[in-house]
Amino acid sequence: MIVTLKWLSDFVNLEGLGAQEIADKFISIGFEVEDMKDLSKGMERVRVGRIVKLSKHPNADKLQICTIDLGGETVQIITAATNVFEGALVPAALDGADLPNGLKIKTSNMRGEESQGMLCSGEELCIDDSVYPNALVDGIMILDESAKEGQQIAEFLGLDDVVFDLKVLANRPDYQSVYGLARELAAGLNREFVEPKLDFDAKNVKLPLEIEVQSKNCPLYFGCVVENVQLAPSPKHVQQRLKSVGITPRNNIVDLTNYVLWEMGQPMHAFDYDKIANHKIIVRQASLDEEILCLDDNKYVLNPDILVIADSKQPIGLAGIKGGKEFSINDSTNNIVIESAIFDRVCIRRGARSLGIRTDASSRYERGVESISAQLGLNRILALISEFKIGNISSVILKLGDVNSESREVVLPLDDIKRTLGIEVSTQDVIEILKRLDICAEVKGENVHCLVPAIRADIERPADIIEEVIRFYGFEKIVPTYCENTQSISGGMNDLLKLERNCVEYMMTTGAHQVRTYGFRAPSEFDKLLLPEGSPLRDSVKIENPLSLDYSVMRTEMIGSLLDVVKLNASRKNKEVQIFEVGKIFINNRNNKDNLPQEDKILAYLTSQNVDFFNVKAITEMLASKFGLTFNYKPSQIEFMHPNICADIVLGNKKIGFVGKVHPKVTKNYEISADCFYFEINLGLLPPKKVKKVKPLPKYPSAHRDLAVVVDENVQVGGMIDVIKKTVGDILEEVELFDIYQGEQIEKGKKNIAFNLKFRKADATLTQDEVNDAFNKILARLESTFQATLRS
Amino acid sequence: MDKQIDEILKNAEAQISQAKDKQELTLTSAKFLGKNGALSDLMKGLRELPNEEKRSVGEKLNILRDKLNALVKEKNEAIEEAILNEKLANEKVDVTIPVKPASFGTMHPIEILKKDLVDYFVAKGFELKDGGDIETDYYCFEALNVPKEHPAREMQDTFYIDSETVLRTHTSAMQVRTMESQQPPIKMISTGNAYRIDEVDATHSPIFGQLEILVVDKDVTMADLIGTLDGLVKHLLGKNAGIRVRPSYFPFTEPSIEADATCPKCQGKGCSMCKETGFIEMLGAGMVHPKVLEMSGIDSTIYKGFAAGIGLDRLAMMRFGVSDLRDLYENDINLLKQFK
Repeated sequence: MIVTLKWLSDFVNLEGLGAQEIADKFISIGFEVEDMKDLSKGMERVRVGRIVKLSKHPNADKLQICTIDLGGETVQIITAATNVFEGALVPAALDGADLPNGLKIKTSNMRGEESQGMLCSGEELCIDDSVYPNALVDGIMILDESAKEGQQIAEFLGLDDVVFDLKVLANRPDYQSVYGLARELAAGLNREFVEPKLDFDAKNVKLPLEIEVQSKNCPLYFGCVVENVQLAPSPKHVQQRLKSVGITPRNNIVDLTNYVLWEMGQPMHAFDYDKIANHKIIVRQASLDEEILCLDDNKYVLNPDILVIADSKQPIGLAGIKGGKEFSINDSTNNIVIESAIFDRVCIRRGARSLGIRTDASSRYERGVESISAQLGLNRILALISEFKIGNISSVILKLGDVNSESREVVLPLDDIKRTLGIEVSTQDVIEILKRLDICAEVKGENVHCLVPAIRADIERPADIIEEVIRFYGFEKIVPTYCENTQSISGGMNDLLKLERNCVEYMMTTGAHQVRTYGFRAPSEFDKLLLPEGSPLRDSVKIENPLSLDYSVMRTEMIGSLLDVVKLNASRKNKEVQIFEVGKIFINNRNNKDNLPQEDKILAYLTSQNVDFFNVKAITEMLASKFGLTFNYKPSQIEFMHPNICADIVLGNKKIGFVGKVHPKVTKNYEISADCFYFEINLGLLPPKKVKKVKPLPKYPSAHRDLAVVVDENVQVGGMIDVIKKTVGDILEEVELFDIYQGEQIEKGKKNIAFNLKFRKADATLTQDEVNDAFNKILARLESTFQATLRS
Repeated sequence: MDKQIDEILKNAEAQISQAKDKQELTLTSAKFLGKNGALSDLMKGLRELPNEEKRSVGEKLNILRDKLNALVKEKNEAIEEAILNEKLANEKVDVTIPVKPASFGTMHPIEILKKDLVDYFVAKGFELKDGGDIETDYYCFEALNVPKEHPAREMQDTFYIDSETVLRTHTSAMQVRTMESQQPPIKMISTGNAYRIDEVDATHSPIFGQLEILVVDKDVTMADLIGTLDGLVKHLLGKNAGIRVRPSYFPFTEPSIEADATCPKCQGKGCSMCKETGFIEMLGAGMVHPKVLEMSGIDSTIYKGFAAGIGLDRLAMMRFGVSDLRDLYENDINLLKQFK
């Protein structure tokens, strides 16, 4: 919301306050000052002067010496401009001026004659024709006779003002007006708030007007005829204020509708009375495909969601958004209808959205305008029309609907202030602050009864009153405390969160770097990952309104995100990277009470370093041992992984992840030339880490045997280890693979596998026979299961 | 006999000292100490001596044996020493050759910050809670006093999955989930991603990290909120830092505040980072709105609460001197490596 210092001054006396002090006060009561601009900056030493004498420079043909009257004081200024003349009023920049265009002015000697300043062009003051007619004339700006000798040029031009851009909080529609902001400022400064002039002279106007409201989206509608309007440019200060807030002045009627919108926060509209068929205004929903040509010269095709103002033939305006062109005020307008109305917030929002328009009026309706504001707005514009003598105001004002101007009572328990804020605020202070806000407060027993004016729709509960109190009492008066009066709870974090943290710690010890990637992915990723049609991973959660196609689905796998990181690094010559992320995948499986997609936390790891499958599997095994778990590995076929170098990671009989080499076609699809190895583990599928009791150290010695067998090269070692473990009971303490050999001494197509077996009994020393017996059983089982032969 | 002993000793001294390696030493020592060695020969002769001599000769032979053993042992040690020296002499490395060090990985900067904050609050007795990135309209908005069509919905441009499902625009969605699942006392923090429609640029990202703080109990006040936030800022920015509180508006808190922290770059003096104000925007907070407590099944006449939400991305940028937010999501290894 843009507001100027002078405009605020209409409502609150700001004497003695600098712009910065006003900005600081706004900040302290809850407004962010996004911008603050002193329009007169650079014009401090520029004043209106009259050229009382003009003479040729004795030593320079092109220069003239001007004697300038600054209102009692006279200076001599030399100029090269040719458009000056004796008697002209001109802007004179005096010694020490630092002009808006950056020029610094000093008294100087020009060819033997002193020049005590400079006469300015519009360009040097950085103003154009919109600020002053013919400002950009070639030469010095010549001022009209309303200027006074010695007057500050900024004051003459109406630029002696400061423009504030304030961020308005969403719950305070009343702040979208100079009126509302000035009231807050007055309360903040504890200065008197001056109500604007709201009374006007009405006449007996004989022009008939009828209004019918057919839609529930218009709870209140005022219409008033103004007869015999004299269209003209607005008074200078009105124009200047509109320009300061970014509105182009047009004519006195249109300007006043805008002026009142800005000042009172009430959107206003004026229709050309004589164009309205049968002089009847109908407020109704548009019919399908109805059309209207608006003031912006666009033709809009309407639908029943849009509220229109119509006459008996056609729409004459989009309610609360924009007026129809044909019915707007123009040079031939004689009589007008002023509209001040309340339209439903949601209806205006939907309508404006569906048409793709947002106007100063629609944005105010979208935030909400209180009914009292429609009454105030109407009175204000009529008061201004009356003041500026623009036309005859009809004494008949049509009003459809009710104005809710009743104050609301909110009862605040006195002890609630201390309970909420943690400090005592005296009852006297509370009442005094509320009074400044026009809230009438009275203590009755343990409570304060507050009468809240209708315009403060945001105040409904005691908490809202407490907020007002502390806002003006000052947050800096609160003495910080540290929850000393709260009860303790167990605190900490759950198992999954602990696991996640531990994973990150463990993964860092491998030298991998944690990354953070977006969960948004492009649907084309599924193709890059070679996923066939119908793959469950293609069933992604889609975003209705994505930023772009590349960010339009939630990821169903982590590998794509990590491949993209490797790709980016590869493109920057970081060829060997080792990264991990604990991230979420989103599964379109809404089997929960909130009907939300399933979210799984995945630990994913990717390396483009020169490693092999076993280096990466060593990491998953390290994790298993840190978690105190045993992972099993089953060969696996996953579309985006190498068909022969990939294993499911299995815990118990549940797949919890996989590890392997990324399919070379996939790495190529991500423009990565290196081989990549990848693993992921679904952390949600890991059991919580339990506190383990210590196992007593063994009392009896262990016995070791090496076992080397030759088997077919396709036999999987994992399967052999499983069989070995199952063959003899507890006495086998450990099986360790220590060699795999294929080569000259072994028959082609076979391999030699060597294990170290460790036996032990908990309650006795093993005998030689027991060990031999176990060893032979294992050998026999390997022979029968895998056609293994003992290698001598 | 004495002569013989002297001779053996003399020969042994000469020959053993000549042994070049362990093998030669073994052979040489066998000549004197072996089964058929010189000492053995003399021992055998002992039996033929008269008893009165046996004893003195026997003693002399024992001394001889000890001396021979000592000679062998001494030589053996000398040889081993020589072997070791030779080995050591050959085991040379140029210790100045540069190496590629075995290294630890690193944590992502935003995660470092997150962990730091979680540790801080967990140590203060808070419980960390985790929530979904995809949330129902109810938990993200309705239950936080933001009904449909409420203008505040426009404060946060929302990604929709469908009309009732959104990517959460704030971690505040966890407030109601927490309050619904337990009665006070509640001291909760939650970290995670939040999503808003923002084009990616130097200071915006459609996905960003947030920390949510919620305390609900009988005697919880705005003063506790301010103290908690002040403590947090001191933890993050140093003991001389502090907060400035401004009134604000959030539909789910009343009164609502925004807290600015002392600018870490200029310590409050005013600089380009804080636009000469000495403060930087840090977080939004407030006393939990009574309506929100009630909708979550908590009696607002007995309990009060405070809540705060802190964006982590910009805090991480500030903390680690990152000037472009995109750098934190690009994951260039040369940047990540610096966060040892």
